[in-house]
Amino acid sequence: MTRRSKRFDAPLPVLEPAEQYAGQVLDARLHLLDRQVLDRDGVPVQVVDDLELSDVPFGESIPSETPAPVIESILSGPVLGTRIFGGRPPSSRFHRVSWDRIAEIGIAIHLGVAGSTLDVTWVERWVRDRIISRIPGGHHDPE
Amino acid sequence: MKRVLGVALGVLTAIGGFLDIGDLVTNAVVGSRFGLSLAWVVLVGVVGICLFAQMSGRVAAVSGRATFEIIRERLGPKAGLANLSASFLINLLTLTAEIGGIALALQLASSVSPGLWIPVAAFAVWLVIWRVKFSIMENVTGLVGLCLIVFAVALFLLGPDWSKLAEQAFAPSVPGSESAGAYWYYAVALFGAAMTPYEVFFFSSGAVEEKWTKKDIGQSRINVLVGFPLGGVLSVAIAACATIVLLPRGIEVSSLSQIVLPVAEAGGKLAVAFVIVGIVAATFGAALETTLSSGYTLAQFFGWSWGKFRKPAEAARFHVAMIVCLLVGLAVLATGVDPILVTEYSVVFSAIALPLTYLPILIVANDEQYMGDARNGRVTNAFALVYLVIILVASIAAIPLMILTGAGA
Amino acid sequence: MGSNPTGGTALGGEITRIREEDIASISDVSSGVIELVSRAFALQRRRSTVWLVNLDVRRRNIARGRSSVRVRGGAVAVALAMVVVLSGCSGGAVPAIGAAAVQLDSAVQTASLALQQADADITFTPVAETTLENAITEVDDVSTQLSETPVQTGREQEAKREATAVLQDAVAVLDDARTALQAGDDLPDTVEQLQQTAKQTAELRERWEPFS
Repeated sequence: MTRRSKRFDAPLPVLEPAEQYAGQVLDARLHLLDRQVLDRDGVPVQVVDDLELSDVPFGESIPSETPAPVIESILSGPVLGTRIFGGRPPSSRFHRVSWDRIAEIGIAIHLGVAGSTLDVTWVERWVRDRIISRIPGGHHDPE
Repeated sequence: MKRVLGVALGVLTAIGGFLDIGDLVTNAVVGSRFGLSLAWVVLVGVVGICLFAQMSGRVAAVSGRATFEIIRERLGPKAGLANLSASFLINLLTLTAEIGGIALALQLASSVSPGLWIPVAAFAVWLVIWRVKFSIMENVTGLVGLCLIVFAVALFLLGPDWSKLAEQAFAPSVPGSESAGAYWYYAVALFGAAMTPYEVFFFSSGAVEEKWTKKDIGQSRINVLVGFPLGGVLSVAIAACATIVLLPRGIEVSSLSQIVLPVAEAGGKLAVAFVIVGIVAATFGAALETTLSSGYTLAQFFGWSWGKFRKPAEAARFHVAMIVCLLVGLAVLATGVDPILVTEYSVVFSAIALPLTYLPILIVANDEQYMGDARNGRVTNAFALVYLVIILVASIAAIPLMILTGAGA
Repeated sequence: MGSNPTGGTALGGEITRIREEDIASISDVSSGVIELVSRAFALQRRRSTVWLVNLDVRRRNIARGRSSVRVRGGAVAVALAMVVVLSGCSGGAVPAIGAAAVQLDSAVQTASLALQQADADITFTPVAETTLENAITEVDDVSTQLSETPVQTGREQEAKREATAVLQDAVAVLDDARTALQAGDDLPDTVEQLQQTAKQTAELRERWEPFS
């Protein structure tokens, strides 16, 4: 153990094995982040750019029995820039899809609602209404 | 019978769709300056593109997801963004070159200045993307592009000294009138022209468009393994025609009209008609593919709804992105830049960007969660790793060679 | 695979303390917590070494921030030096004039071949016209290049003189050819003229070509 701790700037915290949960345990990075989000009809809505967690207190000790933070929503939009380049937008700038909209998590994340009911898809709707609809043939089904 | 027709259609479309303006120009330039001594590069390039196109098609058929979606997921947003930026810019450059190519080919047919054809070409490309069904678009441009077989026909009609040609091709050496630097620069350019990066994204997104499943992997394999090499043979035929007619006269190809000269020598007006139609179809098809690739890569990275199988109203940002790309291409061409020059730069920059576009495909095709049993086998991986080395060497050597030889002058 | 659709999904693992400097190297709070929490999980799993190395490398990069800038700066300087050295590698006016001669010859030969084909009626008139136009544009480019080439030695001056003379002949003949083609005149004379000019340009190229 001593050889290993020399490689790190701070000593490793002592961690005990995680509690066993019934059902699938997801790794946020592997299974949630950067996954495509599809709506109820399989239409792409967004990609998970980041996750919003609840109750993350800064700079203070956390008593050992505190329940872990909970994912409140999946985020997209400007958080992609801050995720890649650093920094953090204020929480009023988050484009959220609330976690309780999610129906299934597989290769992609499936929502239980139609994409058109969500706020995050407003850009798509705006482009559709202001630009595509003005061009003749925008509603023509190519199949 | 229907299956045979289906297979034949796939193969024919692959042959006809293989060549684009980059292949046409680079092969002709190389043939007119270096003879067939660079034919081996076409072989290397064709094997490479077969390998990677097959991988990307398999990924899409098995996982139902297009390659770029998987790149962001597996490699993270930073690598995905780097890949997106490189691919997108190269795509845009190639798109500009292809639209310029359409205009130049139409100039050959009509003597009307290409500057007037460029907006027409861009509008036509947009209209097809807006309205025409994916499979119809692919099949028509692929089949009409088969007219370029006239280059192989012309080669026979010219009655060359086959042993001399074979000697040049199989015992390559730098010709006396050119420097070694220029030789290797054009080797890199030819490689970039053969291993067009957009092809991989287009192929996998196209597989999702046409809703491929595991059953379609067999058909795609035949298309790629039969169609692409035959397309490669056409590339070499273009170079050989230039070698026979242009090299002895000291004509160095710098415009599209010179590419047509050997065909006229061989087959007269009929052959010229075929070649012009073929060039228009090939460049038009490639323009469609590059425009769609720009849309696909952006939409798949950001998670927008995409696909030609959707109404434009249901894939609004996808279509707007493509319109913007076409407008940018139009603007670049409107400055009066020579499309052949744009083409020559686009193939070299394609070669430079190759590692960024192909490494992720390799990683994804090996991914167990997505591919399951259809992962790359050992043989495929061995070949793919060899190619990765070749791609890296070409990419690193490209810029020094470009500076050293003044872009192959 | 499913999660609890009505409640949240709790990311377990024990966090004793979240220090701001632990998260300083990571983009924002939420992903910072995911890093730490994942680390808590990961220690128990096969991928633990990867995760730990990940976090460690990030931290070390911040500490090494300054040195990495130095390394980057050095690499840029080397690249620039390479560019300067490599582009300075071509020297003298004679190779430039030789290159111009090659281009000129190529253009005139193209025009000659195109007119021959038009005369023999094996190509369409628009194709021949376009080919001729392209050849004329190229000759114009060569003309600009040539006039801008600075000459100093006697040999360089001689080269430039010769090249300019042949160029001017070529320009005249090509213009005649364009007129003839557009007017639909008989072409054999024009073809003959072009072939003569082509011989001249070929000779010029022989004499001054950069490589023998």
